[in-house]
Amino acid sequence: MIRRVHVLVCAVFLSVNLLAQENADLPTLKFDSLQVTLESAIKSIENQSDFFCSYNPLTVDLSDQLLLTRTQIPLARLIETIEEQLEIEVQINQSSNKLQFFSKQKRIISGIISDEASGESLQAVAVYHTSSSGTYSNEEGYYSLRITEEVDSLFVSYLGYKTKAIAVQNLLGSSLNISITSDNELTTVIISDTIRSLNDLSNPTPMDYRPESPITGIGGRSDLLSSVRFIPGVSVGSEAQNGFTVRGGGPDQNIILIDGLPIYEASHLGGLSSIFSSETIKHADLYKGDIPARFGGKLSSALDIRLKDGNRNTVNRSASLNFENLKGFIEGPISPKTSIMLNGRISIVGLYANALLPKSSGFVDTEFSYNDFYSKLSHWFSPSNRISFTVYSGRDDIRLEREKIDQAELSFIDLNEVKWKNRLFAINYNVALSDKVFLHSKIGVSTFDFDSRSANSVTSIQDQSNSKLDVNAISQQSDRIAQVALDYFGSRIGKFNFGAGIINHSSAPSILEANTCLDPFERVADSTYLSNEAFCYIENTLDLTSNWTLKSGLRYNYFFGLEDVSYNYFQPRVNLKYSRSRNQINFSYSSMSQFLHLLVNPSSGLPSDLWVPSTSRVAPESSQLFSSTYKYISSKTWSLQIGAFYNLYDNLIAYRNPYEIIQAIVTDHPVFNRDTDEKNWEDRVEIGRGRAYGLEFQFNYERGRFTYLLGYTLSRSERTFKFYANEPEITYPYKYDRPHNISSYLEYRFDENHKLFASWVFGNGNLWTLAESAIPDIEGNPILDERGRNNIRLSNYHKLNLGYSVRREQANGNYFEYTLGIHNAYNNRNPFFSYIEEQPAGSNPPIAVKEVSLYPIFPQINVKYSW
Amino acid sequence: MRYNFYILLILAFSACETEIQVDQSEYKPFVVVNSIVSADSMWVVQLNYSKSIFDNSDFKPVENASVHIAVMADTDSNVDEEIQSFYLQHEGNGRYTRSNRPAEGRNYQLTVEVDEEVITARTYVPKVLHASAEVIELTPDSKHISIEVIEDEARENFYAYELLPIVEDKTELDQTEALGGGDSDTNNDAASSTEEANFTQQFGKFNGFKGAVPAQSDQSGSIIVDLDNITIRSDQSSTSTLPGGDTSSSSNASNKYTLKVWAVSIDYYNYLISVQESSLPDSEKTFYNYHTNITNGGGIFAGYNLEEILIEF
Repeated sequence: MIRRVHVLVCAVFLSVNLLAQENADLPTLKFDSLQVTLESAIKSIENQSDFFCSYNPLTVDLSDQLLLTRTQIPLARLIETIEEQLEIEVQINQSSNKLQFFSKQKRIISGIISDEASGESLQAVAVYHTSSSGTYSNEEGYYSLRITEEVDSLFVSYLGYKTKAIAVQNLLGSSLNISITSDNELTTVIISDTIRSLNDLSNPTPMDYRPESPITGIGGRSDLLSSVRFIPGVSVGSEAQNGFTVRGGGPDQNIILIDGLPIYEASHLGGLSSIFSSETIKHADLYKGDIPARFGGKLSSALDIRLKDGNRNTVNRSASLNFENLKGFIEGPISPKTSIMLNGRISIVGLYANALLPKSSGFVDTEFSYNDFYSKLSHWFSPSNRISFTVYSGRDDIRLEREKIDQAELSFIDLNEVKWKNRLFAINYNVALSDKVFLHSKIGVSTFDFDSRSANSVTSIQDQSNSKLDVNAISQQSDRIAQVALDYFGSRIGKFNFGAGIINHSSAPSILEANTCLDPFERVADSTYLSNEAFCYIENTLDLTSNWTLKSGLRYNYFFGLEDVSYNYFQPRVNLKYSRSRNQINFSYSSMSQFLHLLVNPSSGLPSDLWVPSTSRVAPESSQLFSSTYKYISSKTWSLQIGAFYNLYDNLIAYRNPYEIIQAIVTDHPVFNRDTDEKNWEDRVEIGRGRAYGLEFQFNYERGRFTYLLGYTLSRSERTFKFYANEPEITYPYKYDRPHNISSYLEYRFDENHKLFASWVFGNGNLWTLAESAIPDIEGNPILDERGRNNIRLSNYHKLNLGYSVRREQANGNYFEYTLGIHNAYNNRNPFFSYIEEQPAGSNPPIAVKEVSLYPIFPQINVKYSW
Repeated sequence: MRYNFYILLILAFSACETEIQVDQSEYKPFVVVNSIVSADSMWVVQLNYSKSIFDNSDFKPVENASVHIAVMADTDSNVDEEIQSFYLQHEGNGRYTRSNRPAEGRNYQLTVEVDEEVITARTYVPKVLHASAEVIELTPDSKHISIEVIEDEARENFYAYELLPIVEDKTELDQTEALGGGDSDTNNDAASSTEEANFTQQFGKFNGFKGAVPAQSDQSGSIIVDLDNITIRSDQSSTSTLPGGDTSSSSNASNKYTLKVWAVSIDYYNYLISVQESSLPDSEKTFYNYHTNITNGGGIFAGYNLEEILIEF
C-alpha cells in the first residue's frame, strides 16, 4: 500500500506543475474575426463573461492588434495569447472576478533584508507589492522579486518588526538591501504559525522561534527545546527526557541542524537543559508535516537552527548566572565587513552537588558537569556575498562512585559514568550569483561521542579476594558533509531550489564487557562502519491561483559503501495550500528515509543507546507522512488551527528480546558484547513497521498585554513486529505513544520591563516493557513470559511553572534582567523512570513497580546583565 | 553492578519514589505446556495456566484439556502427513500421560484443545545416540574431553552435555539423587506432595538440564569439551572445577565422573541456549526468558536421547 501511495504521489508531483496553468472554470468567448484589437478583446471579455477588466491606459496600449487562432476561444487561451503577443501580463483574481492588465515591462529587485540595529540578516521576511504578489527572504535574508514598472512601492513585513514601505519607482538598478526595525511594542509570539498580514502568501516556516521566548527551561531561562515542546504534535512525556518526539516518532527521528550540520544530542545532563543558548540563535524552524526536500536523513521532523552572525554595528555582551550554569556572551564587529559571536556556558551543579549528597549514601566521588561553546565568524565580501565559520563544542560528564561495606565482610565499589561530546565545525559560503540566483554551499564535520560505563568491584575484607565487572557502551558517530544549493527566483512558475551533496558517515558502536576494570585506552569501539549518503533535491513553490499554492519537492538519496550494499530512495514532498480571506487549509505528504538507526535500550538501566548504520540485513528506515491542517485567523487577536496526521513507518528495528535489557535493571547485564563473542547487534534485532495518527488543536490569543496559547494533541503510535518464528506478528503501543498531550501558556505584560507568565503541560506517561505473565519452567519454577511489550505506562506527566521577569535599564543603556519563578508549582511527582523490585518472600504481590520522580517544586532564579 | 545508574542518580539527590498500581483486572491467562520426551520415557505433558506476575499463588493446572499427539509420516519435518495419533489421559494436577513411548527419529505434533483455544507445538525425537569419549591431556594442567558421536546425516544435529562427579559417600549420593530425582521411587514419593515435585518426578532424568551445555559437533563429528573452562555441579549448592582446573572445592569429588551426552531437537537446543544466556553472573538473578516453540501458548515441547559415559581421570 505504501508503494502505491508513493507512486501516486510521484505522479501527482510530476503532473501537477504541468496542469497548474490550466483553468477549466474560465468561459469560452466568441469573436467575429481572427484579428482584433486589445480594446475589443477586453470588451468581449466583459460582455461575454462575469469578469471585469482593469488596466492603466498610460502603460497599456489598447490599440495593439491580436491575431487569434480561432473565433471561439477559451478565456484562458485568450489570456495566453495576449501575454504571448503583447508586452502585457494578465493577473486573474477569480474570487473578485477581476482581470488586471499590466505592462509587461518588468524589473527584478533583489537584496538582503536585515535587522537595522544588529545588521543580522533576517529569514522568512515577507516582501510584497500586492496582497497576492510577493516573496519571502531565504535563510540568508536574500529575496528576489519580479515587479512591473508600474509598481511604485514594496512592503516589508516581519513579525515583531515594523512593516516598512519602500518607494521603488525611482530605484536605479535592481539591488535593494532593506533594513527593518524591531517593534518593541509588539508582543513576541513565541511559537506557532506566525500571524501575518500577508496571510495569502504561503508561509514558509511552520514554526518560528525567537530567542526572546519566555518559555523557560528548568534553570529559569529561555530554552529552545522547552519552546518546541509547546507545539501540537510535539511532546515530552517524562521528566528530563532527552530531545522531543514529533507525531508518534522517536527522539532519534528528528534531524536537528545547526547552521546546516546535524547534531546528535540536544540535551545536557540527561535533559536538564538543551544545548542551545538563546543568545546565539537567530532563527529556528520546526518542520513536522510538510518537510521541504532539502531536509532528509530522519523520519519525523526537521529542526533547522540558524546561529547569529554577530552584531555588525555594536559590541554586545551579557553574562548570566542561575542555579544551573554560568554563561557569557559577546558579539560585535571586528571590521566593517567582519563580525564575530562567542558564547560559552559552564555548569555549576557540580559545585554544590556533593554538598547535597547524604553522607549515608556512601558516595565518594561525583561529577555533574557540562560545558558548551559556540562561535561564529562571518565575513561579507559584499552584502550578498558572505562566508562564515561555525564552531560548536559541548561536553557532558555524569559520574557517580560509591563505596559500601556489607556487614564487615565485603567491600563494594560501584562506578557509573555517562559522558558524551558533540562537536561541530561548518563553513558556509553564500553568494548571489545574479539577481535571480542565490548559491548556498557548506562543508563541515559533526561528531558525537557517547560513552557510558558501569564498573563494579567486590572485595572480601578477610582474604582480599576480588571480583570485577566492567561494562562499557560506546557510540561514536562522525558525519562529514559537503553540499551545494541554488535558489532560483526567476522562473514564471514559482521559486525553485536545487541542491546536491554527500555525507560520509562513520559509526562505531560497541558494548564491551570485561572481568577486570578496563583501562581508558581499552575502552574504545572495536569496529567502525563507514558509509556514504549522496543526495540531490529539487523544490518548487508555485502560486497556482491567487488562492492555491503548491509547494512540491523531490529528494533522491543513494546510500552506499557498507558491505557492498546500496539503497536508493526517491522521496517526494507535496504541500497544497488554499487560502481565502481568513481561512487556510493545506494538505501535505512527505516521504522520508533514515540511514542511521538508534538501537534503543528499552529499559531504564544504564543508558546504552547506540547509533548503527543500515546494513545488508537492516535496511534504512522509511516513513510516509500525511497531514492536513485548517487554520482560521480571526483578526490580529486570535487564531485557531486544527490538524490531522497519519504516518506510516517501515524498516524499524527493535530488540528481539527486551528482557535481556530488563535484566539490566538488576544487574546491568550487557546488551551485547562485540568484544568477546559472536553476538553482533544485527543478530539481536527484528525489523518491523509502525504507524501513528492523531488530531491536533491549537488556539492562540493575543490582545493588548495578554497572550494565551493552548495546544492539544490526541494521537496514537504503534509498532508491529514479528519477534518469533512460531508466533504471529504483534502490534503494540510505541514507547512514546501518548494519547493526550496538552500545553498552555499565559503571559501578562505590565509594561516593557515587567511580565508575568505561567505554563502548564500535561501528557500521558511513557511506556515501558514489563513481562506481565509468570509461567512455570520445566521444573515448575516461575519464570517470566517474554511476550509483553510496552505494557506499563508511567504516571501522567503534568506540571505548572510560574515566572516573573523584570528588566532594569540603566542610563547608559545597560540592563539587568531578573527571572524569578517556581518550577513545578504544585509539586507533582512527575515520572522520570520506573523499575521493578522483588518483595520479601511471601509478599503479595511478589513484585512492586516503583516510579521515581526527579524534580520537585523548586525556585528558579536567573540573573542576567547585558552591556 | 546491580545498582541501576538512575537509581544512583536519584539516590544522590534524594528524589521521590512512589509505588504505582498496575491494573491486572484484565489479565488473561494462557496455557503453558511443558513436555520433554525421549524414547526412554512414557508420554507426559504438563499443562498449567500462566498467572500475573503480581499473583503469588501457585500455578493453576489445566484440568479439562484434550491432549492429542500425532505421529508424522516422515522424519522430514516438511512432510505433514499423520500416520498415527492418540490422546493422553489426565492423571490430575494438569499432568497428561500415556504409557507408550515416543519413537526415535520421529516428528510429533502436539495439539491441546482447552477453553476454545487450540495450542500446538511440534518437535523431533532424535535417534538413539552412539557416543564415546576420550580424555586428551594437552598439558599436565590442561585437559580436553573429545566426545565422538555418530551423527544423523539426514539432518542438522544438536547436542548437550554435562559432567557430573560420582560421589563416593553414600549419604551424599542419596542427597544428590533426591535433589535431582533420579530413578528412585522412594525419592519420587518424597517429593510428590508439591507441584514442583511433580515436575521433578516427570523430569527426573534431567536433573542436570540447567547445567547442560548446548553444543554442536565439528565437521569430524566431535564435540570438544574444554575442561579448563567447565564448571560442574556436584549438588545444588556447591560447584567444583575438574581435575586439571585451578581448584576443587568439593570434598567428595573423586576422579570418576559421569558424562551425560544428549542428542536434542533444535527446540531443546534453543531452549538450553536461552537458559544459558539467561544465567546471570551472580546468584541474584530474578528473571529468565526461555525459548518456546508453543504456538498460542507458552512453554516447551521437545525431544532428546541420552547416553551416559563413565569418565575417569
